Amino acid sequence: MMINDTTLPMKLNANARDEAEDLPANETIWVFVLGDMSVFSMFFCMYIYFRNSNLELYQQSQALLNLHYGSINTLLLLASSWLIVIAVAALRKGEIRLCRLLTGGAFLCGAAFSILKVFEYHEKINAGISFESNDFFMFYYLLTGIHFMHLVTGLGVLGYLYFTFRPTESATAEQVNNFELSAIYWHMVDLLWILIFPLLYLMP
Amino acid sequence: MVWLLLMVITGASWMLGANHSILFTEPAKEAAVLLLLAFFKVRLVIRYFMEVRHASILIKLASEAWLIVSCVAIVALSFGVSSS
Repeated sequence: MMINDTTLPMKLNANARDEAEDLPANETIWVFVLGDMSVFSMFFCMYIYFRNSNLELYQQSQALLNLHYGSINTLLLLASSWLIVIAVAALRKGEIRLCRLLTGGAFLCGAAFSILKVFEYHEKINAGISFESNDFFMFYYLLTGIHFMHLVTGLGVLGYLYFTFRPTESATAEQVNNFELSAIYWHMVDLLWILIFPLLYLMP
Repeated sequence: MVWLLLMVITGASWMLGANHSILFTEPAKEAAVLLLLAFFKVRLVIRYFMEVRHASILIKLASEAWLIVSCVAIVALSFGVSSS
């Protein structure tokens, strides 16, 4: 089903993307996203700094993590992000049904990430590893925990978007813009994990 | 294509992480490669997924500034520059 041209400004047309991002709401989401990413960068710097000062402890603790969980979760979030990229393109073309389907797929990938993460936490806690075990695990629970909260928020947004769209109706310009802003947030969740993954799981 | 590249780099990083010293015997170099690959992936996500390549100059500059400052700080710290 095509979006009615009268409800969708030319700005949101796929051929006019250069002007589309000048919408004020887009500037606002970027203030939030870059601010959030900057806070994470500061945490990453602190983590590396303390890691250098007690390398052996961090390496021994890191060896207790399951690298494969981290890797699979990275692939899941990348897949989820990519589905949202295609969903945005579908929505701009007015293909609501396809957009909903892809959003559902992205949600499931995110949900799989969270299930694996909860399983990982459960495994660690059962092994007696907690926030207070040592500095490495303090960073581990802090970074992955804050990221997890972002992820759960994103899943809530994706779920909301999925149920808001009616496949039989055309999307309004506001809905398209809201979807684009939510997509930026969801990509940020992916982006943060892309950095957390090597820092906690891969560093030699 | 971008997604495929992101998946391939993730797979390569996964292998590097699972087999330390396969590429470099010096941990500092290996750490730098892993972090630079991650920041390259981040730049792809920002430009192509978040569509910053089509965004206003302000958003482009702000996101590039975040990327450069974060990348330089984290990679430099991973070399132990600050503690030396």
